[in-house]
Amino acid sequence: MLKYLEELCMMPGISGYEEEVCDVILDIAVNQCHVDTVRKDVMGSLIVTKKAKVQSGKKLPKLMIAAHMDEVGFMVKKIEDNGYVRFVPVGGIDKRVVLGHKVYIGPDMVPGVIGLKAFHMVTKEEERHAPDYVEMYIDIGARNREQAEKLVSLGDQIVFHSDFVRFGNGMIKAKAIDDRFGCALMLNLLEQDLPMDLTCAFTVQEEVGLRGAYGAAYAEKPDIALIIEGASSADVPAQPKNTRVTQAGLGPVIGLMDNGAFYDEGLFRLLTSLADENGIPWQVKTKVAGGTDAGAIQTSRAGVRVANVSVCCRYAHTASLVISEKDADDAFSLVKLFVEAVAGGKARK
Amino acid sequence: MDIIESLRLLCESTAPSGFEHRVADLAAQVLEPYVDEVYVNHMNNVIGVIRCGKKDAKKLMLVAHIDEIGLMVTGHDEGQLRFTNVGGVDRRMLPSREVTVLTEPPLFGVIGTVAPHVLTEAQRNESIPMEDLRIDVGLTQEQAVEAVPVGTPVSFRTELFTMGEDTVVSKSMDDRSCFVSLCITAELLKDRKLPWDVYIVGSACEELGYRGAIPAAYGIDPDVAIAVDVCHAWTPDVKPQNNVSELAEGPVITMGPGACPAVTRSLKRVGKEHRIPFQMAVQPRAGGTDAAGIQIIRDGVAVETVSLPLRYMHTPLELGSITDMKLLGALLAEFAVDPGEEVLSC
Repeated sequence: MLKYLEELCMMPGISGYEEEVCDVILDIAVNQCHVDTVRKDVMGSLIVTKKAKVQSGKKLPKLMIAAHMDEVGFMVKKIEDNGYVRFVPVGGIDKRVVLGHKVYIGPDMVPGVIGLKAFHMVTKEEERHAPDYVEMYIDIGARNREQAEKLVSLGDQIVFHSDFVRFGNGMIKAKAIDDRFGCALMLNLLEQDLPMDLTCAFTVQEEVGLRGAYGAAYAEKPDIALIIEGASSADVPAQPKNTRVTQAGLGPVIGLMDNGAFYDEGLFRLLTSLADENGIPWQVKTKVAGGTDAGAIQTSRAGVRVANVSVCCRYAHTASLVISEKDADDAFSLVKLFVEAVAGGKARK
Repeated sequence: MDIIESLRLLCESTAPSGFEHRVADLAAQVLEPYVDEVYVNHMNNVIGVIRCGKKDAKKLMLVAHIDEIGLMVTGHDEGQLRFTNVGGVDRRMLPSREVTVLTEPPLFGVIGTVAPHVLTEAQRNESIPMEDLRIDVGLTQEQAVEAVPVGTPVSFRTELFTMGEDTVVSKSMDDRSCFVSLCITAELLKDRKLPWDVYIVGSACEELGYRGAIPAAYGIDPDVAIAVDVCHAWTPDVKPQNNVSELAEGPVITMGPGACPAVTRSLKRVGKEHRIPFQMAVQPRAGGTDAAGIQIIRDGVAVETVSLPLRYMHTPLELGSITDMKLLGALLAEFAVDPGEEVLSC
């Protein structure tokens, strides 16, 4: 199922700067998935539809699947006289995971270094304290403002440098898996013959407050929305197991409740029983944390029944997210079963 | 010599202190075209010689270290690796750090973090102690214990890249950029008349207290030794009282108890005569380079440290200037050719 994941993760696209990612998705949707309609809305979200292979003639609820295209990153805030670049985060990035990282800036992907002075000059007090973003800077190899302004501009997007690596027991490392995973999953689904008419929304600006999902849901008027996400996680040995939220390798995460939405109970039960019947392991978040586009979609117009399938993302919102390939494959199988179940009339309230 | 390609070959090689065999042969290979003889000894010191042709000639030793800072595996925890530092490592740059675990074959690893969604306010402002961090290699506990023995070295995972016209960024620029500068020196000495034999040494274990340079110097028994190492270049987070050097304004000649005054004077004269820009640094102690170790071997050696300004030292993205490397190579070549009577009588 991970056919398009590498290509999508390598694209730069922070919130508000999704156009390049969107172009790649649009190309795949049209030329590989042969979707029936494509539409880009005013905010930049891409909405595609594909008809069922065979029209059943039955009256079915309208199903929309959604995933966001944007990733967390930074923007150029100021260019200093000495050629250094000051920056601000876009989306929630732990300030402790950025020092000493390589980044790419702007449309020309100018390389830069988020520097930190040598350890020899760091006091004990400084070592204990995590520097704030206002103290940080990016070195782009410019000697002064004039040289720097030839390379980068105010407001340029900044993304982490990170390659796509398979390692360990079927693990994958890349940037932006949250939520290019969801985009890749929808493309894989759209490639196949579908049991019912399907709408897929590739939304913008999830990381800055689900901004793109509002318009997509309003315009499409779905009865049921399934959100595909990269679930946040605290899956490290130092964290007690009950507060790890999600754990890689334990199967897809089925949404029950998070900080943005309370998922439809009937759809939650449908997902868990489909997983159980088909031998797919699953988990729920052990701690209410994070959120998805469901937070915006659930309250659209007169309300939408929402459901969620996620893959556990270790180290979410860093340069190096890690997922289990089996979790991803299982998530795809579960989503496919869900669409078949809705097509079979099993999602009635 | 292709400076960037030589840097790429050496800096991307992985060799934390004590495990220099991985880089020593490559260093010898880069140096080999410019010296009469080169070998790697039992300490993983790389030793090359340019002979002046005189019998019982005096000896100049130019030394840059080839080891790098890194980490070492100390245990296993739910399939992830506990580790400690090898050399000075700032824990604030460890979260979300990609590493290469130096098993055979090497393993990819990443130092894991907790999603920001579950952090408390206090956690957000405090750096994470090294003992709370683990390296994720994607294995089960049983597999990790089997695949990664305790004591396995770990290197930061970085590919070398250039920025702007003059800067190079990589791990291990400390101190392989200086070793490459010495190869530039050796290349410049081709067909030059020398007053002494010139030894070019890539030393092991500098980061753990010059444990390679000390026996290397004992073996060579030099009359004059110059340690070539990196020094701090200015960055916005450096305090004014740190009095650091500037990038791309030339090599840095050290003054103080860790430097022989005759050698210091000679280097300044050579710089001025050949219009090679240089900077001066004051070092009130023996200093933290190979020179400090070499100074007190046998009955004492006339030493000096000449430095290459470097930003972000001891991080996976150390930034240096090609201009500085060329100037450093030239300064030492001219010094080797014409050190002056005062130095030759050291």
